[in-house]
Amino acid sequence: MTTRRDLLKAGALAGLSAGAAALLPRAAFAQAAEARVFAPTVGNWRSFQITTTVEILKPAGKVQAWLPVASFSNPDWFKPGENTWTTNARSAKIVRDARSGADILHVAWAEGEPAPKVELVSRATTRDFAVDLTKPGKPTPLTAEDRRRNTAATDLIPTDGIVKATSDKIVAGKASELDKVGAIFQWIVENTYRNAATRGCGIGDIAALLKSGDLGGKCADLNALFVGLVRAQGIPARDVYGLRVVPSRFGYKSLGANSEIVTKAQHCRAEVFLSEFGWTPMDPADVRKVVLEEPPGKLALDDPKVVAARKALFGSWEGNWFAYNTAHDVALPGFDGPHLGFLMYPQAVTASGLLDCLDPDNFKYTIRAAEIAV
Amino acid sequence: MALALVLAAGPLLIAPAIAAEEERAPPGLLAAVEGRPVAPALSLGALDGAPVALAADAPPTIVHFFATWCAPCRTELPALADFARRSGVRVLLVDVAEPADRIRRFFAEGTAGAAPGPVLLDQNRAAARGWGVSLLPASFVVISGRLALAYEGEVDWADPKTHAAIAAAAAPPQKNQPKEAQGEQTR
Repeated sequence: MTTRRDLLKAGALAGLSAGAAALLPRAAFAQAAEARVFAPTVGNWRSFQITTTVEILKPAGKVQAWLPVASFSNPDWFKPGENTWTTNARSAKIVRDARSGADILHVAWAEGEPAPKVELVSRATTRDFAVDLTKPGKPTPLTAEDRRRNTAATDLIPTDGIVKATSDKIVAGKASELDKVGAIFQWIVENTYRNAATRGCGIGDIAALLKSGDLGGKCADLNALFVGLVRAQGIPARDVYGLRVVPSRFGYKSLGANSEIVTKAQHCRAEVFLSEFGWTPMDPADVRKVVLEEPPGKLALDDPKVVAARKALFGSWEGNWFAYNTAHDVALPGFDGPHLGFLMYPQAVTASGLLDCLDPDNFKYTIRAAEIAV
Repeated sequence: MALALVLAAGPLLIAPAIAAEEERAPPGLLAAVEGRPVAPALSLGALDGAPVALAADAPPTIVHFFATWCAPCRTELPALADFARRSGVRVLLVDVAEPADRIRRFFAEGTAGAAPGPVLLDQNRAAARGWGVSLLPASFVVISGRLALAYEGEVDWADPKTHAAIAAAAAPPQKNQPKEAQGEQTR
């Protein structure tokens, strides 16, 4: 289990009291206030701990919960750590959804438990990462299975029909993988918008999004659309579902968590596998977030902050974010209800059915994040 | 199957692409479904009540697919409720792939008004797929177990043409009438 000592940063901060340790997030926020050009490069490794607390406010019948844990791994920029938990449940164990590969903490309480509760502490190490797209190399090719998995259609990300037709139109005249993916990235930036009214991170039903002609949404919509359009070209791509954990060190308020409470800070990014560069970070949805939210708000595409983010988020990103998984069509173990489009929020079911994962106050769950010493 | 049928209905589908932020296509009108095919099966659990099945001999029914996250759905529901009150046409709402808690809170908050009919739960999107719904909201008018009218997108329920279209679709077929009654000119 976690101790207070774990929350102390290494080096100069190691001798601080537990009280001082509690100030760490604020120190991080102060540091983030200094604005810089958004241009992540390969950085130092940083470790984070997120604490997810679930309390079922209205237990009825058989109560179960499922919490995402870090099961994503990319040695270039993200290494999952240990998961520990405390609970009054009858059983709690990490289960892997075989189809999607997502690791899930599955918790089941005895019927009649008046106050079901679980607290999960997850750790991971990550860093800023960038791929130099001017220097092609020879990365290890994907296995056939990885290629199949990352070019496949999912329930909400079809790769045929209107998705394929749109993708073909976007990449017309482009020959190389990089040019095709670049065209799709720029198309997303120029033709979609972040809709502040979208609940959570969006649904990610990309065919409906295209068909509606109203290309508004949040990351689970816009980056899923990006992934679907890339996959429609037969190029491997994946959504990475996770959580913003600390502020941006580049001073972008819109691109970081601005409180230690990150209950609503879920964010999904995207990676594309380019034959000459390997898995490459991409996040067009965050470009649209900068446009909408970076002060003073509703920035123009030629605003210097947008220009910098647009350039950087095609090939790099900041390591202020915690990855859970790349799962789609997730079957919750022990639950015979519908599959989830993706698993980024805690889930729970009672006799009344699935609880609303987008309503943490009534669910209820809270998530806290902190930077820790390894 | 249903998708192909709806496509055959012509103008109901692909809305023009909207580039500008938060602009939406204006509400449209129900269109006739060619050949009036048999409606796909619909039998689902309800939000707060017994499961509901659409019977072949049911009275004219509007089957309306929606979700609480869908902005045009939120705009359309009060208009649909008002239409149902004025016209007396039965409405079955089908929520697509959302937890019951979220739907309950959505209607309890009152921003979309009261539900104009039972709310059915299509938790795994099977009904939406069976009916060929590729875009929310989507409305179907079922007459005698057959798809008479349909529209994907927000319907203009306040337009008198909507009421007239449903009334005309529900009118019994008129056989062996005098030619004058069929509107054919006589000399």
